[in-house]
Amino acid sequence: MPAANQRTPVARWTPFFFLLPFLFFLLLFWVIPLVGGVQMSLHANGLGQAEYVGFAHYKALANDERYVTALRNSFVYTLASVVVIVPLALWLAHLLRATFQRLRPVLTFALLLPALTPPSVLAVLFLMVFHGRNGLLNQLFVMPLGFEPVNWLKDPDFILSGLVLQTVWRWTGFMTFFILAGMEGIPRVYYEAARLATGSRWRQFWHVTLPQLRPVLLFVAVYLVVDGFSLFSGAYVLLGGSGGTADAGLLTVTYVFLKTRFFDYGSASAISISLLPLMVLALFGCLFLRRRTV
Amino acid sequence: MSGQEKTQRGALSLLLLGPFLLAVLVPFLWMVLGIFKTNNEFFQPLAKAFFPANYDWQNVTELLEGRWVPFWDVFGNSLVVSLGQAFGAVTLSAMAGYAFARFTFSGKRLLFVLAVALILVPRQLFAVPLFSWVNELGLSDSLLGVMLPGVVTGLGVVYFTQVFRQMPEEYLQAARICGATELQVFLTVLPLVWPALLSYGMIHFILAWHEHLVPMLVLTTETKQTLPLALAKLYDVSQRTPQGVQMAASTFAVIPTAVLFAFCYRKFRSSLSDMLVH
Amino acid sequence: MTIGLVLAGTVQAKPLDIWISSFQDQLYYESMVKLYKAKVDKAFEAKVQSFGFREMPEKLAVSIKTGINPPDVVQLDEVLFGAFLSGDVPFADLNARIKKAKLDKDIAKSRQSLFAYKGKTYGIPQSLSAMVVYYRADLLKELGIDPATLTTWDKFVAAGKTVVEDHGKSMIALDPTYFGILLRQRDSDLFDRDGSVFPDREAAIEVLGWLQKQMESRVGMVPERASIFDPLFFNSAIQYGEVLTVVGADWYGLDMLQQFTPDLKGKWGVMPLPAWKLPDGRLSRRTSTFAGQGLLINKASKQQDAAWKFIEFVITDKESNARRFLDGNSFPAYRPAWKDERLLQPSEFFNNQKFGELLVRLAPEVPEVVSHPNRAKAVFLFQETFFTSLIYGELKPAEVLDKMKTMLEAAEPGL
Repeated sequence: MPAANQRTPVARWTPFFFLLPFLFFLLLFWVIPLVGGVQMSLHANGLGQAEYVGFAHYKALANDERYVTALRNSFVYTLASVVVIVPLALWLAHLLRATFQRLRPVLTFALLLPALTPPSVLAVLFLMVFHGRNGLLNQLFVMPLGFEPVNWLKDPDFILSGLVLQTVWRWTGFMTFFILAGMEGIPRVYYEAARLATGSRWRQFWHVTLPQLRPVLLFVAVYLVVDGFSLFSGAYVLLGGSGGTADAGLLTVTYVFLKTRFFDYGSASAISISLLPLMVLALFGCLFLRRRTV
Repeated sequence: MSGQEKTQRGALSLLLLGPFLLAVLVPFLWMVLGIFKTNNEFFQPLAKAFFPANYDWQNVTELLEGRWVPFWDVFGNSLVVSLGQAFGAVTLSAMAGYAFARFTFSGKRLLFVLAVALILVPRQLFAVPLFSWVNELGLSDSLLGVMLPGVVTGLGVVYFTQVFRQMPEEYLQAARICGATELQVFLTVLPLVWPALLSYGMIHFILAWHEHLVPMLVLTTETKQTLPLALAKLYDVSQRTPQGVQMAASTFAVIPTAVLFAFCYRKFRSSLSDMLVH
Repeated sequence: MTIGLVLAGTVQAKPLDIWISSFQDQLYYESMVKLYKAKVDKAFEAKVQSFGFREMPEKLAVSIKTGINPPDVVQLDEVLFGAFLSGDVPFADLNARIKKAKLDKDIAKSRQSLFAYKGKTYGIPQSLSAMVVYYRADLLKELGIDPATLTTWDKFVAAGKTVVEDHGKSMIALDPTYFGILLRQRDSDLFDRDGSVFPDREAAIEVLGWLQKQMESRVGMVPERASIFDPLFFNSAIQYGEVLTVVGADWYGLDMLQQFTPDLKGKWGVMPLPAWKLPDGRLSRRTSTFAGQGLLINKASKQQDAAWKFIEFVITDKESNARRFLDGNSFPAYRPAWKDERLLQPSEFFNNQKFGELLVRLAPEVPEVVSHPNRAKAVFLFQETFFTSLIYGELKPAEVLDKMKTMLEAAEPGL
């Protein structure tokens, strides 16, 4: 591992030379619109020349029940996705390694298909999986187990579960792929040593594989957090841009979308910006954790 | 372990993988079969009509002939935009990642976090201001107006920072000793990470291929639109597109990314392994 | 699908930019452009662009807010129109033009105020949008029910009960839009002209309670995805004859039923809505209304005169109105068009009934819709967030009203 103190001193402007193109486009297409967005959040809603209202939108958020619901739902959704996807992906990666080597590429590719599919196409596929009585999920799992068919898209008790299932279906293969790659990169030497030391396969996994995979798992977690809080396509394809019955499926991104749909641009911007500190915190957290694993 | 044990283990694992594979593949199979179904057949319960009665290619030919949307234009636009974005993103992110990984400078951590965090905020925030700004730049209704905003990516920066961090300092020293300028050093070590370049290019291609919000705002002319927009139009109830045509378009939307991935698979895997485990 | 004619204008400053809300209507308007060219102005050029029903308002709003490439003429649905009413309305006031063209006499009275707000009129309605009950004539006959006897909702529900008990089918499909529809049938609405929400609370509770009760007794059923406008509904519940009637506007039958259930040609019948018994003992009107497209002119347009001339043509021309009905779009709100014999003929699709005649008969009873900046929000709020909870008995009608009222009042435009 290269150590920081081995770097040759270079001219002070050098790093900025390499950063310049990135920063240029960042400034041009993200920072400038961000300023526009911040401006919008400080003005009244609506289509016309909006008047300046200061932090009124932000203050309103503090009392906004729907905002709190959205935050809570997004949090639960993200947590559930991570909790389900990570172990599942680990399990699938393990199975892929244990099965016939030649089949591995094909099987991995198959599992990856959902991630390669455009979100709008996923919407159609979900129709087949989730729709009430005749959907795959009900026909193959729920009803054979003796339960009443669940209306995944409309029943408030199940909407969030439906969203989580949708994310699990979409991303597990992708994460399995990453984890598999990570597993294959672990030097055999470590496994040999562990086998000699303990012999138990489970112990090997826990003490050797898992720690080595920490960077991968971190990446997976970050990706899913991002998906849970700022990517809209998943929720949109399932619920069509609404929060669902009793706002059971209302996510932060959905709430932003709903606001823009009714031209409440000011509120929408305020909500989006309010998420920024959260994102920054999460990122700092990940960086901090990373340093500890090195 | 013995050969027989191995085979047993292999078969068992395959069996256990079975349900997951089915869960993933069956919807896609349904989608492809849907191309050949009439609207009636399409909405029937699965037990009754999973397979179409006739294998009629009419829906495919109609779609490719451009009867519903200017298919080839749209497909071509998506290809151009996605390739352009991938190329741009790899260039920008690789350079930025190199800077973050190999140099120390004040404010580095903060800059890194801000640059990445910005792109993690819900896109809707940027929708109206971006639209207005793109127009002011004269890029309204042009593919460039979709391509350029998309070459900035936080994910790419994270990825390449990681990649360049792995690189042994010796390589860089070796290049520097020969009296090369920093840029030359960079260009020298770049080929060493070409699997990573390819891999990220592919990831970004896929993300660009799926992008909806920015193209929807920026592009108005029908022949300039990208595939997700055309798909949205086909799915819209008021268009009355036969389900079979919708399924055909959906299938075509998946093929490029799937093919691309199949091609880059091995390189992607190995570069990932190198990068992720340390 | 092709975009209409585009040409660097010589006589006209530039082509008229027309934005249409529905892909279905694109063909119609393109042919109207051709017709206008042939009949009125050979140098006329227009560009017709269509966007999805939900996408159009978003694109329109962004274009208005940023001032970039806004259209001249806009076709907008009345439900979505409301969202544009907060603050400066971006559409031109057409009051003077309407009077000059005598459209204030010739458009069905109740439809004139559809796009009106605070004394100004911003659009001309394209359709009458009169509600009727579409029923399966073949199935009702089989079950021995005479549709002519279903003159009140009580009688309708009674017949429905026998349908459920003896045959295991549902009598009527329920949809979130029925809330407003049935309210309007009872002389009320979601909003009041002075802006208050749910002005007649009793009526609202009764309507919601009625919906809930029908669901409970299974006289009513809710489609899989809770919408009667969903292709899934047409291809499953309707296809299998699981439900016998649907409440819909003229365009629902003319457009959607004809397109989505072509094999049921001749099996659909139409009849007025059964009447409510009102608190004062009278019987309510036999029709209602919901949605319906209209044509509006962008206030920022530099070609408002040209835009108006085209709109006037589409609304008043005999051929244009006939085409709208005959090609399966909607029934015009323009009264002189009702004298056109072609609109009054028996319709093969609708069990050889004289659909046009029925609509003309019901026209005077069509109620007004009260426009309000929060109308769109109210409709979608009920549809997305509250309908399912109500219909499955998880929330009481009064609870739904109170929650909605709080949300709508908090959502005052401007903040």
